[in-house]
Amino acid sequence: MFLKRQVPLAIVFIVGVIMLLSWFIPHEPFANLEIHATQWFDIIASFAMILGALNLLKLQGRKVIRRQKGWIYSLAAVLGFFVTLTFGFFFKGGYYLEVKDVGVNTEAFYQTVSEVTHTELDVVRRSFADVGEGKVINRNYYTHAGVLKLQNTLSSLGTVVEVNELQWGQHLQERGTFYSWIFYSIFTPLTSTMFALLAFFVASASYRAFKIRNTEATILLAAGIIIMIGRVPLGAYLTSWLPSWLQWLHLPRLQEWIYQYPNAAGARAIMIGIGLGIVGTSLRVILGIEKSFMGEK
Amino acid sequence: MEKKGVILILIFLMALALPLHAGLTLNATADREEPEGRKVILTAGEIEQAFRYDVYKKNTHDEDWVFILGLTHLDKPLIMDIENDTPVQFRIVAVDRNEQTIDEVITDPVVTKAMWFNTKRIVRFISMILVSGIILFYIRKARKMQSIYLRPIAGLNAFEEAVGRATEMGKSVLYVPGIMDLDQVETISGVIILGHVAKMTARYEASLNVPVSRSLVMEAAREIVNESYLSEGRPDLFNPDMVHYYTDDQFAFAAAVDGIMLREKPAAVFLQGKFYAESLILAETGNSIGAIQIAGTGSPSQIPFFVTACDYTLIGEEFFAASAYLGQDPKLLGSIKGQDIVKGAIMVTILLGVIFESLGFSFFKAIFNL
Amino acid sequence: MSKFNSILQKLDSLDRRIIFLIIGLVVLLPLLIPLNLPVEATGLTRDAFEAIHHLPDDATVLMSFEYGPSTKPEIHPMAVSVLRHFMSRGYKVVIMCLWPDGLFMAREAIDEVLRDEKFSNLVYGVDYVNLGYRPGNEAVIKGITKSFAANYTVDSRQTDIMDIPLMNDVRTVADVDFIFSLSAGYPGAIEWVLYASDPLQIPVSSGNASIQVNQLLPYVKSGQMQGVIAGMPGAAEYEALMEEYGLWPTRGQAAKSMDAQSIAHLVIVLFIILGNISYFAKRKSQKKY
Repeated sequence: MFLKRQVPLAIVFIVGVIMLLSWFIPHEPFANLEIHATQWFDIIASFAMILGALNLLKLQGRKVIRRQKGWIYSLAAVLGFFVTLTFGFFFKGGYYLEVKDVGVNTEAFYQTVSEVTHTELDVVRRSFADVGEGKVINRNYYTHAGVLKLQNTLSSLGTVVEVNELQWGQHLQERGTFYSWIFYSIFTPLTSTMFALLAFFVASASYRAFKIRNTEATILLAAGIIIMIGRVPLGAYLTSWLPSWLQWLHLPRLQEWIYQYPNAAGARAIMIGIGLGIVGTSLRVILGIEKSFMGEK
Repeated sequence: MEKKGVILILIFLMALALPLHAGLTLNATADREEPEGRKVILTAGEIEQAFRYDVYKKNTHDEDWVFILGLTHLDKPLIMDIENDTPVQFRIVAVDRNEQTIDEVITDPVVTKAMWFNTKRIVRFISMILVSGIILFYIRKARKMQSIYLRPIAGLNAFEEAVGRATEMGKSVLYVPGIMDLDQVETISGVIILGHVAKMTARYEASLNVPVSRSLVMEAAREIVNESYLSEGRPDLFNPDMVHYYTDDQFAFAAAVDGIMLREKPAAVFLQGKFYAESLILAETGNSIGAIQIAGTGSPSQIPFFVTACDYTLIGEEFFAASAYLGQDPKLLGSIKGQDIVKGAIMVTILLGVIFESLGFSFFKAIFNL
Repeated sequence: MSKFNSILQKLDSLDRRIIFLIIGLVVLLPLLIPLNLPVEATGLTRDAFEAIHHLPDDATVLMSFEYGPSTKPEIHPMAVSVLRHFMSRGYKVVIMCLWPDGLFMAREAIDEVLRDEKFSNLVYGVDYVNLGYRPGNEAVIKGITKSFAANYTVDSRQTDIMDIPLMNDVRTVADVDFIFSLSAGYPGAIEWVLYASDPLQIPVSSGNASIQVNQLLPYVKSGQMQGVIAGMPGAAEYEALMEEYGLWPTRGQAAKSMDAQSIAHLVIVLFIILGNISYFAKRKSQKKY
């Protein structure tokens, strides 16, 4: 009971008070406590990801094995997990060529490099005018066979090239690796699509919710319409004819005023309330008044 | 005569030497205003013949000087970074156009020290003490008070109604504690509220589904749900797989939760925690399946979306007060009252600030710039 | 008339899929048939532009990428415009990322800007550097207030930071003259204000998703931030300002997309008006009975 109740409360209290005071004490050892604590948390959270991954595999795998309802989606999840893991840790791709000596057929070399890297010929000429100890051709290949093909082509022109491979870690950041293919071809379109759904949901939510039920709803509706139209070029276009003494009705100006004054004031008020809520909750947790996050009453 | 001549020659030589040393000077002083220390202010005097001034530094116990920078003018003080509690010396060398050294000056060792209290944050420290003190005062007072009035919040009153609805319809309750990790206070609040909802689902024997976006949150939420079911005397109804992890990625998680909503069609959806852009996706999908939705978040930009798409929304402070409302613990209720008093004090301060600024008195604002 | 009334009342519960279909069409058509609506810069964007434009000629700027593919349509056009602005003015640019996806976005932005022959003489490591991504959120920001080298031992090309000429003069974030954050969430502009800009008095501005601008307005109004580029409209405004100042002659991606956004907003407003007409028709008939 002591380990389950008193010890966690003591840890929360001591660490909470130290972290709070460290913001006011620039002297060591308090000065860098915040940075260290944040980094410790990141390390712990990263290792904890293993727990989450195992849980995901367990539940989704069970669905696939038992052919439960929706098992095909679980199969997609499990396959996606293992494929990405494989390309992250086992098969990286990322082969490239380093030019040691351009050789005598310089124009043919420049032409070939320009074609494979989709770079202008002049830029290639300038880049490879002096290769020094070695100059990298800015194109990565997924497979060794792919890069060998280019190597053979360049070697036939008399160019001296060396095949290299991206380092582990670098393969997560450069194009021409399987991992980057997954990122650009699968992950990017999927997340963009999910975000794009917001456009449709905003329309259906607005249609359903913006009803003139009372005075406040009417003001909200009017402000919403002014901001929606004023924020886009159409608003400026629709009110561009207004004479100078009516410029205050110019939609972009109106929307900017609403945005920067009533809207900002409301946002500030909510932020102050949220800030106080955070202070209250944090105090309760640090002082052990709120114990339910530990599973206590 | 000879003596006079020697004296004259000596005076002449001294006069020649004086201009060489009178110009080039270097002073190094520790910046005592800097709370973190580490800063040394170098002020130097120029000499006419110099083309460039090279600045060097070294720790006193080191032998070699380290070149820092070269300057053509010394009209402005230089701020240098050094390690605290380490004596450091600075050297300036004036060179001419032929890179010949004309003169050099070495400073005495200078040591910087960090303050034990950051005086630039004194106002914030006092505010922290005051705010904490007021909240703690009302927490203590709450134990003696018979009851504390808190205005009714429709969203909180609807918690039990939502769980009851799910029980009647024989469908599940979906609870999403946000998409951020346990280092966010909103997530902690979301997980605390989950404990209360879990007690209700245990009591009413409704099934609970808690998809999470972070592994640490999964472990904490699982522990809380387990304890809630135990406290209601229904450990048999608890299943660790009630709380399950999907993915850290924001929109992948939104897609997963949407999938649960569309396939399992829960009767009650709770969205309590820190959300970002995926909030409307979740709320609209929940609305489309006809579920009763209760949202609460500390993200100001997501509140409008929840208000539009959900049946009940806990706005800002109401979300953080939810655990006090649901638990009805006097100490928690006392802290809410303390928060309200602080809020009142902030409102008065803002009003005073507006009045003073409007009348042209900026001293009030200056207090908060300290 | 009663048939018309009953149609109006039915509109109150219009199937959302019809709304989705109409929105899809009104977004698609202007992309295929551009309207070329003129873009007018607003105060917030202009403030950000002026703050950047009037930096000293030898300024060093820090550009931080905190967005991913989901918000790329909104933020990437402004990333390209701002980077182009920095390079046109001859500033030294230090690029870093606090989001893992930000690294890919940064690389794409750099590649897109450097395709212009005007910047073909810029040298990596001398005129610009990409330090890459480091985990730690605001701990990274706090760390670079003390030392870049302690947090970034190598850049995104695995080159030792000590071997990068540009970083010889940029030891800590205090050595930069301006910070620009492209952010879609946490960590983002607010963390840059709290941990770098405010304590060290370095001017900061940011480009954000439209939805976040509300949270940043208090910082802008208090002078802690120099303007803000708000979402795709803001990106289009920035492109218009680039054109106005002769820094970029062609209509950018954001400006082209604003036609679609304009029509979509108009259609949403029409839907709202229709919804209210239907609501009143329904209320009137309910009162009757």
